[in-house]
Amino acid sequence: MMTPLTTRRDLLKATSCGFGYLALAGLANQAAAATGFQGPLAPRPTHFGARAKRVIFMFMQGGPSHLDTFDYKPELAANDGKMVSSALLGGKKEVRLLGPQYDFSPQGDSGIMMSSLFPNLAKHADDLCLINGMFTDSPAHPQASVMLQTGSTNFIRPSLGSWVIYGLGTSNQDLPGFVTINPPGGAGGAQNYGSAFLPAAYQGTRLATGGDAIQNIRNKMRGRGAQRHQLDLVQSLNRGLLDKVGQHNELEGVIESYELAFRMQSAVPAVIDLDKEAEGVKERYGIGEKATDNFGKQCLMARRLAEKGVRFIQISAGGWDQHKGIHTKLKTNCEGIDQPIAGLMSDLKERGMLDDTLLAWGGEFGRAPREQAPGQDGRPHNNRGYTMWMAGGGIKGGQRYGATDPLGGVAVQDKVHIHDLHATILHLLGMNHEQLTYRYAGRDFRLTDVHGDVVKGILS
Amino acid sequence: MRLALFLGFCAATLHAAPSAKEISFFEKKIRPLLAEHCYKCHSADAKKLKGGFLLDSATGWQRGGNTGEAILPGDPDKSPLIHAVRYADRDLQMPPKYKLDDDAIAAFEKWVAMGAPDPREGRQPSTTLAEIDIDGGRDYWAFKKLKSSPDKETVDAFVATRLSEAGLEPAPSADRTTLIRRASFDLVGLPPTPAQIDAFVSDARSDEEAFAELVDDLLDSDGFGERWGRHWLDIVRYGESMGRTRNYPFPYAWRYRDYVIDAFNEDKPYNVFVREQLAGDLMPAKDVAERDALTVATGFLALGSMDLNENQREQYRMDVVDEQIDVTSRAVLGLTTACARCHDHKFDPIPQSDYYALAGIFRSTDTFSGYTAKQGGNRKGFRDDLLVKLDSVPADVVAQEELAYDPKIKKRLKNQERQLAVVNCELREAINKTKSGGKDRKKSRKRNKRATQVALTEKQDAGKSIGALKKQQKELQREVAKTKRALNQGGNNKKGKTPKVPRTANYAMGVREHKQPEDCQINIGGEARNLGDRVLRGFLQVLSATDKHELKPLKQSGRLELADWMVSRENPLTARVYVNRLWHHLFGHGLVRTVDNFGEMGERPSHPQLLDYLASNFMEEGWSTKAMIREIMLSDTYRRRSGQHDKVSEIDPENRLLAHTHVRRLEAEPLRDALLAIGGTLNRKRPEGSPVLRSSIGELRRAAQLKDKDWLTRRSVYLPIVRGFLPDFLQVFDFAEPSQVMGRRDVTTVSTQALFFMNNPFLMAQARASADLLFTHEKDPDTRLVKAYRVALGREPSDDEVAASKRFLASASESKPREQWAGLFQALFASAEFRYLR
Repeated sequence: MMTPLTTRRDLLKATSCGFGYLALAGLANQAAAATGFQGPLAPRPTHFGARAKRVIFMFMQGGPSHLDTFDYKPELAANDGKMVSSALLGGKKEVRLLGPQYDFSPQGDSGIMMSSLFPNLAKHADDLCLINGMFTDSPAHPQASVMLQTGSTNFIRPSLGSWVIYGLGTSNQDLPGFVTINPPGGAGGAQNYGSAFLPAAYQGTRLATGGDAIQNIRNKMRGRGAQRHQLDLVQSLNRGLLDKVGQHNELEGVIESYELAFRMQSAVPAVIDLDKEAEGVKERYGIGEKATDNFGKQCLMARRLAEKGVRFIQISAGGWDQHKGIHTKLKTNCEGIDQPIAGLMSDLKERGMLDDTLLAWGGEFGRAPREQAPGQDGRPHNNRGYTMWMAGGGIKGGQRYGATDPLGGVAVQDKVHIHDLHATILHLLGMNHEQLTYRYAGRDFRLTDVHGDVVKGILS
Repeated sequence: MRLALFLGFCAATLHAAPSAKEISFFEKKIRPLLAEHCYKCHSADAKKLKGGFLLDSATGWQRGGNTGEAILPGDPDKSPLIHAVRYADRDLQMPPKYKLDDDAIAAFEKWVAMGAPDPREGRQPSTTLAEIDIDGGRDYWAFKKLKSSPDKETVDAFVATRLSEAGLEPAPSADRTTLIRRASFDLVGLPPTPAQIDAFVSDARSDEEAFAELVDDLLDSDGFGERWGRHWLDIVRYGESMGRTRNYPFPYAWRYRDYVIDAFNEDKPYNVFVREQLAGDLMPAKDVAERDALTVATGFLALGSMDLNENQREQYRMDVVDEQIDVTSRAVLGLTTACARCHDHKFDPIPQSDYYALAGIFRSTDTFSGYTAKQGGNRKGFRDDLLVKLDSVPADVVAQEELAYDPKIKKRLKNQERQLAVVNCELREAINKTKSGGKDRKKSRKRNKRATQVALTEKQDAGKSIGALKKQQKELQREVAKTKRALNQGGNNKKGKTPKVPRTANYAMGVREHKQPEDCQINIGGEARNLGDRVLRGFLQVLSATDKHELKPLKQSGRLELADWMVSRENPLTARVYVNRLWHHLFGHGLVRTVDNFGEMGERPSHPQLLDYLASNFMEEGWSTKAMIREIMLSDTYRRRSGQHDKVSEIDPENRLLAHTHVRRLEAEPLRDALLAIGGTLNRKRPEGSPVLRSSIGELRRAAQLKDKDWLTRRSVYLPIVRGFLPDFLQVFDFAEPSQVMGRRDVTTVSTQALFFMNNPFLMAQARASADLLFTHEKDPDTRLVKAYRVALGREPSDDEVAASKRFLASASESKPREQWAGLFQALFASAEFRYLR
């Protein structure tokens, strides 16, 4: 019986001794040595010039169909309904090809093909880089989601956002450096924004849209000064415990979480209060319209947080698992995000922020070019080829990068794996993914493990 | 054109499914060669893919590389790959650095001549079993038979062996104040009272004896079932509503919750516990009460979160089956069997046919959750014909309850409320008329158009006097209140008598045998309408003796046989998984930390022999949970001091070898219960039912937000677990997601938790209550301070802490001393020590 896990472990063990660069200390250590002790979220220098200062990551949980949105496949359309051997598509039997269900047309000066599901986003086509050759390891939701967010399917590893603020810190000490708005409850849950072995201060802070975006943010009994006295007592107790117990990641996290919480009390309500925005701005994001209200609010909150210096902001829209409903649910989903994203991009542009804000959009995988079941309006999962897109800081827009085969099922040209995507995001933020390491359990860990190549072709 | 070629190729390979013999040749000869000599550059895992050519899947080489096709099936001499390995062509030699030996080249030639049979799909193959090897699978550590344990082994001996191998010294035992807090939270989920601490600390007997008695007392407490029952509820995805697309209430889920709590308090042997949950309805009972309890136990299978929007009946049925297979195999066996629904399991030796052998059993079972698919519109709400009936609920209770649920009452209420609205409107109009001489009449009429229309249709007399209307209004208000009472209180409860048994109708969630049990056909690709071979019902082959996995002559569903097989001595996995779960809850980490997955993708045990010793002991000692917990807790390993020294953090940073105890965070429930207990407001009585019991669909969120005051002071295990609307406290502190098997919860440390301790009204109310309690018992400020620390943290304050606390009290701006002390309690609650066990 083969034991892939053991093999992989053994490989890791072997390579951890072999790679010289892994021995280099992490960025945090360097910064600490240079400047003396700083809080874990203090800004730290990049490895090289950054193209983007912050990231807004739009997570589309469920596996959106690339074939009906961003991956134009005329030959799939021409063969719609044909029976083919599924050996090519991941099965043992004959299956029926399902052509793109929406019309594609060229958009912008660049003329990149996009489907009719994104009429508003299409106006920003020249800023979009459609990465058509994505592929990932697992065709199952939880594993693939966690893979997208942490770079590993079977180990508990820090999430991308955690690595980013571990590497760079954050510029506003009154707000969390890593925020996730309305994250999906399943699909890996808190692991998707967890810090694993990185210090707990690098965990994502969960916010919600709506009235109670963040609960318990106000104290009705005590003024700021009185609360500070109380907190001083709490922290002295905490340090006492830490002295008794010795080095302990979580306990240090508790201490840090109080300091951040205290500062957040004054900073957060102002940032998340969308009422402060003009009606025109809200309209632009689709806030107030039933279809777009939720994601519109997320996008607007993301922009406000970005403006205030939050480093990594994740927003989410779920329900992309179209085993059926390509004609109904997929359409509603796209409608729900189209105007909000377009509004966000226009808004960032006007504020001169699109140049140094990296936008990334995508799900954990895509969908297959075949029918889910006879007569069923849906597509099965497909991890072997799908599309994500990026825009903004450092991205060469108006292009399709990489490609799937003519049927759109398997990435064949300029393939981009999740590790490559991660390496590229870190690169745009000014970090070398091979040097961003953290020593844990006797070896140096990386977001990209032993993999990852920066995708040069998408850089401007 | 490229696509034409491509599709033409599809057609060519369409019927060329490789035979078993061909597959075997490929697996034995070709795959190892590819893996050893080719994958480095020609697989999806390759660091740098060369020539755009993949050899790690059939589709890979079928598509060809940058220079075109490399293998022409059936024609070795024309295949570039064969040229390359023969080293005949100077421009194309593979592998590039050396020539393969002749046998290897011959194997490749033979393979291509055969037509290049290749069973591999997609990108997975390089890490997947091509053909499931059941016999080989039996050698996997978790599936191996348990050997009877040697007599003189102890937990400590196994742990000591690994420690000394690593050159580590175990930490000494924790002191008694630390120990009683640890044991008390672990066993009953509540802090020890100062009196209990004093009794334990001053116990003159040896540490071992005193601790043994403490553990026994705690095991005997009712709190034990409430603590450990909840652990089980995490594992079986306990929830009180459907979740997902139609989040309808489960009004009777709480019966299962209470069954589980009772089972742990009674120390029901685990094998019996599992059997009852899978097949209680098929087991003999001595009386009606036991029959009902056994029925309730099968609620285990009916609690799944299903998509009620599924519009294909058979698909929904198979989705229910899938959920049952998933929960059963993950909870009891620690296996992800449900992965084999659409295809053979990718990592574990579970063929798709095994899945459908189990599916036949569950498909021959009717599941009663109260709902079925595509039930909506006018058929909202649960249907009692989709629940199982109980016989032990007294008739008068049933009658009362049925009255309460009587749709007639609801209808009556609606009518009365409508009449009242009409009267209110008329009254307003009449008053307006007298006031403004009819000026506002038009406006008023418009505003009340709808009500007025109703009034007209009801042919109400428009000319009533204000006095008569007022009288009518009052009468109707009384009527409405009365009907509401009837609806809320389950019938006539005028005199405030509390019935002795829960005032609920005689329903429960559960399962029954299907009237026509039958074997199930494989659903090809997991599609209920795409049927393949019929599979005899049975069990997982890899956990059964050779050829003993099928159930042949079978009149019933096979559930009882499945239950027996699950807990048979021949199946080592059930006990391994369970004792590991117990260990996980006592140490914060399992010996296998992936507690719900003992398969290939799970972790290997840190102490395999210890795990097997515990598992085999557990079975030999009658599957007693309490005995097992007792054995583990009385070990030196459990009692060790926490806190790491440098040598350990260097050699064993994750403390897998257990040189000391993990500092671990309390879960949401003990945290909340401790706050209530310290404030003196905890109601330790088990509540009747659940707030969900009387909640309509629209009221679910309200139920979860604990608007019902009675529930605010109950132990957390009794809080309503409505999917999608968890009570805030539970949500903030990483409660288990109630739709998923979750033997190990997340532990996050985020500022939203800090904000909770700083500002939450519930928390501040508990701090205030704690201060009030302290003030009634203690007048002297110095003693007060000591007592505050003792009730909150289970220990006395150090000198530094006394000084810091006094500073805080002096600085407090509140004028009343009680408020200052409430602030002190809040600080103690907020301290990390309060939410961590050490």
